[in-house]
Amino acid sequence: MPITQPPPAADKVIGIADMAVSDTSADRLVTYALGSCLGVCVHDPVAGVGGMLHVMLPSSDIDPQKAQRNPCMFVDTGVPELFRAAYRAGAQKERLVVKVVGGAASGEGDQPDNFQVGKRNVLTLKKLLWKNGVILRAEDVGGQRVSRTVFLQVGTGEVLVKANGREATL
Amino acid sequence: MPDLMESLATPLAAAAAETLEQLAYLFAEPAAADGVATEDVDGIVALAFHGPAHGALILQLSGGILPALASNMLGLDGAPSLPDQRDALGEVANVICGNVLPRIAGATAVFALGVPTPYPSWPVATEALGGVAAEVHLDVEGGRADIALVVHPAA
Amino acid sequence: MSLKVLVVDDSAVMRSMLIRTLRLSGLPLTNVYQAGNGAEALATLSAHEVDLALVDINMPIMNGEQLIEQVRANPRLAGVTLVVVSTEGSETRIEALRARGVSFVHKPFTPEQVRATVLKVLGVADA
Repeated sequence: MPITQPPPAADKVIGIADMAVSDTSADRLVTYALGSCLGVCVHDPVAGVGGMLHVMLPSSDIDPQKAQRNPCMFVDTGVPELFRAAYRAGAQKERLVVKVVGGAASGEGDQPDNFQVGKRNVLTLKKLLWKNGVILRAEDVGGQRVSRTVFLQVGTGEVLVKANGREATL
Repeated sequence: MPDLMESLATPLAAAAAETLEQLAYLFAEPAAADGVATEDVDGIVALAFHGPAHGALILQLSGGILPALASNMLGLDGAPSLPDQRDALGEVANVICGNVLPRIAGATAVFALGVPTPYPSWPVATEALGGVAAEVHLDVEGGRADIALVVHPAA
Repeated sequence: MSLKVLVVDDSAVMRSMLIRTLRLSGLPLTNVYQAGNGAEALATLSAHEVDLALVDINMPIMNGEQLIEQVRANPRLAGVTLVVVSTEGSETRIEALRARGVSFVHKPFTPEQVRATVLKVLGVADA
C-alpha cells in the first residue's frame, strides 16, 4: 500500500485585486498590507475549502469594463466571484464561515479621509452579504492608517491578523 | 443659541450617520449643500421624547433613497411595499432619537420615546412641534437626509 | 433541539430583520411568532409555548419593561429566555433589565451582534 505524503506547507500569496481558493489542507493563503482594501476570507470546514479575496474598491459602477476584466477589483463583483469559486471547489453556502479584515481609513497626517474608501468597502460587503443571506462571522476592520496582513489556514480555517506589530486570531 | 446648536448638531449627525450605515447599509456624509431639501421628498416623520428634556426628532429623506433604505433593511432586491417603507422610515427615526439622547443628556437619563408620526412637509412638522434647536443635513448615496432636534424649554 | 421564538417590536420591518437574522444564524426555528406590543406578546405567550423572546422597549399600549415585569411575575413563563433589542441608551434602564436576567442588544445592531448574543443566552456553541 503506497504511503501518501502530505504536501509541504505552502503560502499562497494573493496580490491586490486577486483571489485564490484551495482545498489543500496544508495551504496557507496570505495577503499583505491591507489598508482601505478588504481581505475577505471564506472557509467550509466540512469540505475543507478555503478562499481569500483582496479587493480594492466598493462598487463596479465606476468602471464596469474594468470589473469585467478583473472582477476582483470591486467588492460587488469580487465577492460573488470568490463565493462561486469556493462552491466549484466543493464548499456549500450554509457552511461557509466568512471573515473580513481591512477597510482602514486613509489620509495623510491630520488630513481627513475624504473618500472614505475603507468604510465604503465594509458597508458594501455587509450589504451584499445581508442581501444574499450570509452572516459575517468575524471582522477586524476600520481604524486610522492601519496596515493589516491576513493569513487563512485552509485545513483549520484559522484566520490570523498581523497589524502594527500585534498578532491576533480572528 | 449658536453654541447650543453646535453642541447638539455634532452628536445628532453622528447618531444619524451610524444608524443609516449600520441598520440600512447606506453611506452618509455631511451634505455639500446647506438647508433642508424641498424637492423630491420621500417622506417625513417625527417622534416625541419625554424625560429630563422634552422635544421631538424630525427626519426627512429625499432623492429617492427611502425604497433603498427599506429594501436594505429587509434584505430585499426590489422596492418594498409603501407601508414597509413608511415603517422603515419611522424605525430609523426612532433609532436615531434613542441614540442621540444619551449623548446629549448623559448615560443615566431615562427617556420615553413616542410613536413615529408622518408629516406632510418640513415646515408643517417644525411649526407643529416647536422651535428647532439643531438641524443637520447628510448626503446619502445620491439622496439626502435632513434631521432636526426640537427641544422645548424646561417648564 | 427545536426553538420557538417570539419577536416583539412595533415596527414590522424591525421584526422582519430580527427573524431573518435568527434564520441566517442557523438556529433550528420551529415556530416564529410576532407581536406589535407587550399586550399582544402576552396573549401569544398565554396561547403558545415560547423558548426565546426578543423584545423592544419603546412600544405603544404596553412597553417592553411592563411586558418583562409580567413575564417574570408568571411562574408558567419562567422558561422564556428574554433578550431586549432596543435603542435604549440609558445605563440606568439597561442595568435594571440586566438585574432581571435579561440580555441586551443595542439598536442599531449588526446581524452578527444579534447572532452572537442569542447563541450565548441559549448556550449554543459558535460552530
